[in-house]
Amino acid sequence: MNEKNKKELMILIPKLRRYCYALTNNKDLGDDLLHDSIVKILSKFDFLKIDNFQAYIYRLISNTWKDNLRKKYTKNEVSITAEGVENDPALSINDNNNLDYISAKDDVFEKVNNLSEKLRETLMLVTVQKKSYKETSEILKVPIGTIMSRIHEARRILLKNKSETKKETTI
Amino acid sequence: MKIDDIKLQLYVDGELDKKEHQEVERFIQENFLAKKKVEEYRQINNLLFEKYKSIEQKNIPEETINLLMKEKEPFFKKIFNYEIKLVNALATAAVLLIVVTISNYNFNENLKNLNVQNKNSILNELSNIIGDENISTLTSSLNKLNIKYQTKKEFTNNANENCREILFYDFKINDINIDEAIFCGEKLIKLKFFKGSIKQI
Repeated sequence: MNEKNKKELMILIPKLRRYCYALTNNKDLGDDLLHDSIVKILSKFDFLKIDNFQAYIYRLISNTWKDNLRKKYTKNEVSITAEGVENDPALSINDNNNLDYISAKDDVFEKVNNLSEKLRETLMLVTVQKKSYKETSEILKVPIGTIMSRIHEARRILLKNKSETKKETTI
Repeated sequence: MKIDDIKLQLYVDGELDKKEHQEVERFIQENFLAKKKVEEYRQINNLLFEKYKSIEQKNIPEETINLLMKEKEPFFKKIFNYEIKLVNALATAAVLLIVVTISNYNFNENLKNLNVQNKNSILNELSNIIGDENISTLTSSLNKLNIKYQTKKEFTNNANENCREILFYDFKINDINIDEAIFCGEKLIKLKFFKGSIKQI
């Protein structure tokens, strides 16, 4: 890895870490994912020409996350829950005590955990990482139209599930 | 302008130009359902962003930082036994059609000379290791040199390109020994090499 890329990576680490947390929804697993991804980046030997280093790193993290998930499924381990995150004071939302808000929050987080890998990584890049659709399409190497559809689908699922839950509660 | 859910989504995500943004803004002021939808989209964005924003700077694991700080791994260690895999990962995609196995490699028979294009592909890849400057000083002398090789295998990949795996005979650039390469068409797919006099077993 050349010095320029290394400096860029150092600056990016906090944001990459946030992305790792967003994907895994767990502090420790997020740090593990970040660490594994950086090991992979460092093991690359600069043979591949990287036009967009930032997009490359995000893509590498996404791919590492998906690989880890597949390994996990293969091993029949218990799926990750939001528990690790919810108990972490650093991750709690302190500025809103509104009960409806908290209820909506729990519902949304639960549904996010059940989104498909593709929908989840796309949603996290746009909402958590604040990436534009163009940047997201470069990271995930899919057309902007696909990003648009995935975001729309993810939101539709989150909102649909939310209203269904409310209906069930009312009934 | 037609304003549907997708347009509202683009509005929330800041993907519209100024004119369209203003049009949607006016529309949602007059349309309760659209306004509600926008609020829901924003709520999802805010929930997710708020959940993770506070953690990015806190207690970044030391071992991860050290990993980067200690990255200056010895050059030898990195280069030894390294294989590059470029486009068209052969291991997963190749359809082996013809396999010519040479059980006992005899470099004294049927040796061919590497063409200029193949030499340049190898030089381009190696430039990342020994630096462009070193490569450029070597390019002309290497191009004049007859680099001997023998074909180990010939096959077609999934893109229907003719590929060949070749073994080099005494191909050195500085102290880097080029061992094997795979070309599909004229494209370099894989390169095996080692540094110094220690050869991979």
